[in-house]
Amino acid sequence: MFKVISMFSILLSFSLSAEVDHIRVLFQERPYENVVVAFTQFGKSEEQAVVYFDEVSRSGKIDGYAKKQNFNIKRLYHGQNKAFVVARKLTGLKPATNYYFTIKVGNVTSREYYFKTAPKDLNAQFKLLFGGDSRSDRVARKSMNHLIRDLVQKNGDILALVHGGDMVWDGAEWDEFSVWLSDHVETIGRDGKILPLIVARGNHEKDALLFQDIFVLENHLSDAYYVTQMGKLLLFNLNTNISHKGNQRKWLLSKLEELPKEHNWLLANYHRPAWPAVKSPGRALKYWVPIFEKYQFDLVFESDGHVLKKTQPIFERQLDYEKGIIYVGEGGMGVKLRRPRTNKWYLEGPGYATSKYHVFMLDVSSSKMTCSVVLKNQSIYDSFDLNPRKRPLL
Amino acid sequence: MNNNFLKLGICFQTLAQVIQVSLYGSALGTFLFLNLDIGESSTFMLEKIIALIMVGVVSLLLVNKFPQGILLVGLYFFIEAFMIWINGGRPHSQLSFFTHMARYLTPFAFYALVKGHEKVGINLLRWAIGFTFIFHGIKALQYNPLFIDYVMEGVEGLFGIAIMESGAKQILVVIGLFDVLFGVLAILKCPPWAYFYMALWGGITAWFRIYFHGDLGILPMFVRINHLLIPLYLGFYLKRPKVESLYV
Repeated sequence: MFKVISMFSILLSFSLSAEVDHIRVLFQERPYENVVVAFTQFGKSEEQAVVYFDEVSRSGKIDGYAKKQNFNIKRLYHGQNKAFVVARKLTGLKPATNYYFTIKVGNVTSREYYFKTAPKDLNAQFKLLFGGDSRSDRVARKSMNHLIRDLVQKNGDILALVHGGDMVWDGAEWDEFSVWLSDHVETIGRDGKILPLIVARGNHEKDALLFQDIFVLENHLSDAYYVTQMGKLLLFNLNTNISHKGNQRKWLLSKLEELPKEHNWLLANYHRPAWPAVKSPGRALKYWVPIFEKYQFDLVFESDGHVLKKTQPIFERQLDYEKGIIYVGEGGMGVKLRRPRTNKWYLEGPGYATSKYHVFMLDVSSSKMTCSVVLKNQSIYDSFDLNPRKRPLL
Repeated sequence: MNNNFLKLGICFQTLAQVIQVSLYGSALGTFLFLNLDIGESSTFMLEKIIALIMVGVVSLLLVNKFPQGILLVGLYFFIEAFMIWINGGRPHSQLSFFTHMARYLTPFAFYALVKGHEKVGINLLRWAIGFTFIFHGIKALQYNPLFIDYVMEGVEGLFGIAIMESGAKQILVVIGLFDVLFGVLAILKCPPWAYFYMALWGGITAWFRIYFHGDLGILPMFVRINHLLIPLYLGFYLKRPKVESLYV
């Protein structure tokens, strides 16, 4: 009898996932009040998808939820004829609040999931995960996803995963993204906690339209550069696949002028490094690094190299402990690791570069930011603190 | 026609490529490491062995020994272009087979020329520079992001005018159309002045790597040296004095 029930449960779960697949939550500009919920629907369906949500758990009983909204984005993924992206931006949410939700499509109702909105309070403490390059080593990618799930389970204040790009090998192939999204679902906790994504576009995400569809980058976000505001932290997600000197740089400068001065943690996240551990420097070095230095960014996330790196604090192409910016990352969340080229001055102590799967965990408070490197075996490889900077130019 | 400056171009291009590979690795190494699961120490070793062979081949070439070796240089650049296409991950990397034609066809053309197969050699050079121009033109017409930055930087640096990204895109359309037009002309039939224009443009765009990237642009410039030398060679070839027959 138990086996029959188990079989029935498995079949039921398959039928549900066939309707509401690849569930994901996306943080974009102001995740303390707006959050995007998206999923994949395979095959054509005329049924209206609805998200039911509330600040308390209703265990998936749709009548109990305080709010419901229809999904208002539904279109085929770019270049596809069977798989649809279905999405809705939930607006007017409360900051630092758990939201429990269930999705209903026709007669099918998903299990209950939940996420936490970002804080708006400038004194709030929270954590972020950062990593990049999860494109071609599926075994490692799944291991890293399980690590992320465990980290989120242990650290309830982890808000989101900042991805530095290169999720897949060939970003024009939906099938590769489909597998990546299936693997990403494995970061969801047993209690249904979803870790929202904040994404940057990597060089392998070569189909811009497909990338937009998957991460629901609509309207002014369609070029995949945007700033995410969380508490005192401003995270500039930049796109190294487009012009660095043109509209993007102009936007970066204007945002830095316009955003409130009390946001004293300035971070950037992009794919191709300005200070690489493996390849040659990207154009970020020429066009963005001077801006980071002028505005005294606190930390910059880079990916692409398939190694783990931390640079020395760099200012005007020299080691500078006072004004220097540390560049971390290089991407090791599910891709075959390379050997770094450690003969570069900026990777000498206190910088380093090594071949290790990793994810960075950032512990943010108003007075201090701690950046730790968590390896695949859950050990901490490195940890360093950053104090708020004086920004006379802001 | 003196082939020496084609030979020098091939030597500079090869040495620059070898140094680049030793600094940052090659597309072949990336393919072997990521796709075929060959250990990185083995791919590094292979890259070094190939680099040594290439240095040996061009050294012998400079003293006019072992001309067949130049075919290996052509093959080396062909494999690299093919691997960039396979690896992907760069804007327009799917066009590398065509945009790199000047790099890998020039050694074959040179070999044909020194072996006395003039028509074959000249045709290979015309295709090499023609397709290179056409497909760089297509990249420009499709607003390659690197080209946008080049145009913005170039106009600002050379003329002191800061232009918007939209302005750079308009300029790229003109550049792209010119590239395609002259590329087609090079393949079909081209007057000498057209080749000299292509040499000028090929030289400017190669030199622009240094203008844009500083020291980091020196090697990329030399890898593209044949964008200048092939059309120059073809232009002088067409303008060479014709030997008149004594038996008219």
